[in-house]
Amino acid sequence: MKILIVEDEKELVDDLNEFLDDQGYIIEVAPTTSVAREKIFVYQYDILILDLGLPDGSGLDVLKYVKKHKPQTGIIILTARDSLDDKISGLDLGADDYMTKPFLLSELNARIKSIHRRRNFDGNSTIIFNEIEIDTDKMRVSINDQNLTLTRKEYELILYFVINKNKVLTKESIIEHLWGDHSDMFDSLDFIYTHIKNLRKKMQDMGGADYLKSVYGIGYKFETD
Amino acid sequence: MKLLAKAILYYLLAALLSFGMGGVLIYFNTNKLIHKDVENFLVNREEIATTQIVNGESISSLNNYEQKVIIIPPISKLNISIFTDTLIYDIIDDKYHPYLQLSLNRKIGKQYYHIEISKSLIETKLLVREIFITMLFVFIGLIVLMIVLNLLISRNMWRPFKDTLKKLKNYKSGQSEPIKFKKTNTYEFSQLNEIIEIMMGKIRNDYLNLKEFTENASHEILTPLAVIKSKTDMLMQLDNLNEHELNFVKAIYDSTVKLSRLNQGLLLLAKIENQQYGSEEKIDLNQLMLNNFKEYKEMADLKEISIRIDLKDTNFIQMNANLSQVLITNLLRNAIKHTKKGGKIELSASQGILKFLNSGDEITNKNFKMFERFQKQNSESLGLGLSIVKKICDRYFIKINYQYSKGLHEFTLLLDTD
Repeated sequence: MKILIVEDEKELVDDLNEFLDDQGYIIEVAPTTSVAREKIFVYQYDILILDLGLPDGSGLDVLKYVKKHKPQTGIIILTARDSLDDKISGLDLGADDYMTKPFLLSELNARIKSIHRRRNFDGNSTIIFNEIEIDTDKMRVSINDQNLTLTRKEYELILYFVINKNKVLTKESIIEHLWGDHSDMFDSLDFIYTHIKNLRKKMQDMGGADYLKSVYGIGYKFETD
Repeated sequence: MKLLAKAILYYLLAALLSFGMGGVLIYFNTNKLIHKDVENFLVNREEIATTQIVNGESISSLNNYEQKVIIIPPISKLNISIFTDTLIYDIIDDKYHPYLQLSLNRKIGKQYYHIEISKSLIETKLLVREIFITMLFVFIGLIVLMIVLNLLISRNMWRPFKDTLKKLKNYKSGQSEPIKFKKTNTYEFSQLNEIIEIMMGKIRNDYLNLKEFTENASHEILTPLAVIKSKTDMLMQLDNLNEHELNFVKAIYDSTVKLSRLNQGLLLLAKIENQQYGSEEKIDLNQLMLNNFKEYKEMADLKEISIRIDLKDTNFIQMNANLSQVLITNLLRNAIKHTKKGGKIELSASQGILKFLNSGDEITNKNFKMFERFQKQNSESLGLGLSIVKKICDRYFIKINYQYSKGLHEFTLLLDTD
């Protein structure tokens, strides 16, 4: 899958590059709107990660350009500007998703995957990892061909883990992904443990391996080796 | 008190004083003048009488109602004419009337005479009264005229000033158009308008600068924050970190999360203060409360909080949709956040009143200013949630009250229902 990152902050681009490259994507970078337009005109991208505040203009112009010329491209707006107007006009113009800086790479990854699944209707909506099979259309998980009865949150949890396998996911990021940005409402984030425990038990009951590892109390990791 | 009313009052006082004084002056002067006239008349009459005596007319023929001539024994000294005010009984009117009397002694030939001539002053009194009444009418007429004129002139003259006031009242610091006043040929007002225009221009510029600054600052701060967050995220993914090192990274990560929340909160506050949330629509607050509650129910369940909802009357309010969302969620979040495990929350709505109750310990700090920014009960909290709530309430004239009783924190929103 090819991704174009339109972002001028070099450090951020490097991180995105490294992280997404790790996920097996092909990454290209455009630091300005003009470069972005050129690249979009010449090449075909599956997903565009678009910063709105660019040195030579607004990312919204690039968004319009993409929608006009390459409407099949998925777009995630990425911006420091926590402005409602921008968000609304961005989504109105046809962006698929919107993320405000600072964001987490694992969260971005989840959203890229989600857009990718939605965009490829005819493609495979099933994620298979060893004995685990996740049907994202039907929101169903099976292990060794046996259906798992999961709560909505447990389903989202396992999807988040499988998409971000071998990554340390902090408790905050898990809460943020599952409940939105509400992690400040809890005196302790340990309630996550209950969900993990239940999920782990359900998976093991079906003969699944124990992939969920606790990482020094800061978070969890879906470990594949 | 209105300027016009004040001016008229002063005019009235001044008029009353001057007319009063003028009235007194005229009264005395007229009196004096008429008195003089009557005196002259009496002197004249006396001369006629004397002439008649000299001509040898009989004394009895000279005596009448207003004139008395009697022969008196010789006296050594002839007294000079004396004028006296006196009252004489009038048979017809059965009343005493004021008279001016001239009495004197005179020697004509070898005879001494005492002559008394009197003249009624009743006409004089009538005259003075007539003058007084006429003056009163003139006075009242003048005052009425003055007030009417003043009203008319003032209304016209102060119109530019009222225009200016109206424009200033309707001016919003966020409006895109700079303020512009109607031209006026009154020097003072055109000066005032000019100065206000210059001043407002300055304020507008400052405001725009500030707005730009807030946006830029947020952009500039959030981007490095994003870098820190993604770097720490990547650091955490390294396999060779031990627990000690990882905890350092976690601490940086946590602070970054907190800093970005802080930045978002402050930005929101600034935006509300700058009135950047313009568009308004009719919001059903009860519905909003219910919708949001569903979202937070799960979190309340996790803390084993029991919740009672009692929504009676519907409450509509004209406000920005986004801000209404922030208002309700912040109050709900506040309630859930500060309720201990196993506690309870009560939400209720009646006509114009929304209540958020949650169980918890009393705030012991007497100086705790609930609705001010950076006031917090624990170090984990940012202390912005309720100050944002307060700002939104102020913006839409919603009264918010807090009280603590029987182990319950109670936040009440009182809507301006008219």
